Amino acid sequence: MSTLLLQVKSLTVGIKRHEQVFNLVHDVSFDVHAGQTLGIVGESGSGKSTVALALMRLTPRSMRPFTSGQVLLEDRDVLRMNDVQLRQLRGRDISMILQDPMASLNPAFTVGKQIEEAFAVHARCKPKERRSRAIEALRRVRIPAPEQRVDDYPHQMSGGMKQRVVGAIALACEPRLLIADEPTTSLDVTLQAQYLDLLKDLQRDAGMAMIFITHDFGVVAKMCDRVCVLYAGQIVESAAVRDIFRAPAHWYTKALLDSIPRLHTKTERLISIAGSPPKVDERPNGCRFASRCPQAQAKCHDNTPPVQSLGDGHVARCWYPRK
Amino acid sequence: MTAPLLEAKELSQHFSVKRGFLERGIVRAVDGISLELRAGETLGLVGESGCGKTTLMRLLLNLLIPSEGRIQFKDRDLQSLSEPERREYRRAVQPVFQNPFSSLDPRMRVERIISEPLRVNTSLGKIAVAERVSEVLHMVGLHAGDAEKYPHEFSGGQRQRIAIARALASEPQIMILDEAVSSQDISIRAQILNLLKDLKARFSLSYLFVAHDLATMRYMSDRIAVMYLGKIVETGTSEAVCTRPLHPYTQALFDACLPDDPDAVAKVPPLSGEVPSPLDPPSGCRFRTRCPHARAECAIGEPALKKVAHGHQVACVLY
Repeated sequence: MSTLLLQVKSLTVGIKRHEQVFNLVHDVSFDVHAGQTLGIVGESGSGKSTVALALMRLTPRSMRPFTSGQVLLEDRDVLRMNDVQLRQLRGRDISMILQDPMASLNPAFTVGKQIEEAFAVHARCKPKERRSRAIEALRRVRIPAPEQRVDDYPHQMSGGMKQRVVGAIALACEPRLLIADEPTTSLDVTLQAQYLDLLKDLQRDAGMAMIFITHDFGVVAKMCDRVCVLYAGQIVESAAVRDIFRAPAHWYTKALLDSIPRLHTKTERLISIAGSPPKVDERPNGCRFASRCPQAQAKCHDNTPPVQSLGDGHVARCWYPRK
Repeated sequence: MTAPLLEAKELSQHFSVKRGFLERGIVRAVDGISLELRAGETLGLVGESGCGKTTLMRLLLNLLIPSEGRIQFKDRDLQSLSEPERREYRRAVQPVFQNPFSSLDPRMRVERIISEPLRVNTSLGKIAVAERVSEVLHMVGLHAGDAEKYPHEFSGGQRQRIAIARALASEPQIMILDEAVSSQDISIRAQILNLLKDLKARFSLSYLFVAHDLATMRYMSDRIAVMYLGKIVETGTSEAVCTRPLHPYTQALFDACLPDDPDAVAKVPPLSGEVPSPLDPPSGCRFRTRCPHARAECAIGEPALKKVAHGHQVACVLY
C-alpha cells in the first residue's frame, strides 16, 4: 500500500446566518494516498467545493469559527497553520485547478508572468531562470511553441489552451496533491478528453495525488481510484471506483447512476429522483435523503443513520444499505 | 414516411467581421446546410462550440435572415410569409434555452413570463390567459399558485420547467431545445428529460434537440445530425449513428466521450488539436487537418453528403 498523504477527519464547516449556525459540510472524513486519485461527487449545493476550499484553508474568514475537525497533510494540520505556513503550503504542497480558466487567469499579465509568480514565491530563482522554467512548464502541459506562447495574454488563447496554462501554474512547483474542481466542465468533448489524458500522464510522471471534484460519473469512471459521494453536506458513500459502479450501497448513489443516460446502450426511460436536495436550512434530523428515498422507513426520517462498513473500505451512511 | 414539417435547403449564414485594422473577413457560420425535421420526431444536433449550432438555431427561429438558401415550414417559404403569417410561425416554433437564470426576467412574476407570448401572439382574453397559465404550469409539474412567485424563488430545475411552460403556452408544433438540460444537476436532468419526452408524446410535438452530450442525445433523439465548422458531416437514425458512426469526426466524438463505467475506459488517444478558425477553414474537407485518415484528395473538393445506408448519410471521401 502506498503512503498516506492526506487524512481528513470529521471535517465540519459551518456558516452563521440570522444568529443560527448551518453546517455546509458535516463530519466529512477521507484519506488520500500518494499517487492515488480520489473523486468527490455531488450535485450543486452538496458542499463539494466547500470541502475543496477547506483543504487549503481558503474558506472565507467568517466560516473559521465554525470549522472543526482535522486536515492532516502527513502530520501537519492545515486547519491549525499560521499564515506563513499556509503560504508555503499553497501552490507547493497542494495546488488547485478551478472550473473557469478565465476567472483564474489575470487578463492584464502575460501567461508567462503568471507562471513565473509561482517560482518567485516558492523557488527563489533568478528572473532569467524563471522565464525558462515558465517555458518548460508550458511545454509540460503540451502547449505548442511554448517559446512564443509564453508572451501571450490570456485573451490570445482558446479556452482549452487557457485551462492548460492554469494547469501549468498549478503544477509549476510539483505539488504532492492537486485538487481539481470541475476542471473540464467548460471545455468541449474532444478538449475534455485531451485535458483529462494530460492530467493522467502528468500524474503518472510526477507521482502526485489528485482529488477530483465533479458531478459527472463519466469523469469519475475515467480518472478515479476511490470515490466519495456527497449529499447535502455529508459523505453518504465511499468506496473503490468499481464498487461504486457495480454495487452501490447507498440508495442515493444507486438512484444517481440510474438517472444517467448511457452512451453504449439504448435506454427506454430514465429513472429520475423525485424532488430536489434539501436546502442548507431545511436539512432534516434523520437521514438527509429519506424524503426522496424509495426504501425509506419510519426510522430513516427520525434517526440519523450510522456509517456502516461493508468491507474492503466500502462504507455507507444508511440504515438499510443495498446488498 | 411523413412529410418534413420544417426544412432547411442549402442554408448559409455569412458574417462579415473585422480582422486587423482594415482587413475584413467572412465567417461562414452556417455553410450550405440542408436538413429536415419531420412531424413528431426529435432531431438531435451535435457539435462543439463554434460549429454553428446557435446560428442555425437562430435562422430556424427566424431571428436571422439567411445569406443564401431557404427555410420551408409546411411547404411555405419563410421569406415569402406575410407579417401575420410570420407571427403565426413564431408562435408555432418555440425555443427553450440553456440557462433558466438568464432566460427568465427576474423582475417578472411567473404569470407574466408565461403569459407574455400569449398576449403577443394570440387574442385570448384575460381570464382565458390566466387559465392557460395555470394549465401549462400543471403540465410541467408546478402548481397554479406558483404563478404569483418570482423566478428567484425557484430552484434551477423548477426554473427550467417555467421556461418549458412558457414555450408550451402558445401551443407550438416545434420546440427548439438549446442545451436545455446542460446546466442542470444529474438528478434534475433526468426529470426534465422525461418531462420533455412525455410532453412530446402528449401534444405530438417535434423537437430540435441541440446538445453536446452524446449519451443524452441518444436517449432523446430519433435522428442525429453532426455538425463541424458550419457543415453537417453525418446524419442518420440515432441507432445507426450511435452504433456505427461513419465520419471520422463522429467517431472521434464518440471516442472522446466519457465512459459509462470504469471498465469501459477507451484506449484510443483523443483527437489532437482544436477546431480551426472559421475565418479561414481548411480547403476541401474541413476536418482534414485533424483527421487520422486524411489523404491528398481531401484537400481538393468539399465532400458532399452521400447516402450510404437507409437513412444514413455521411460527407467523407472514405465512403
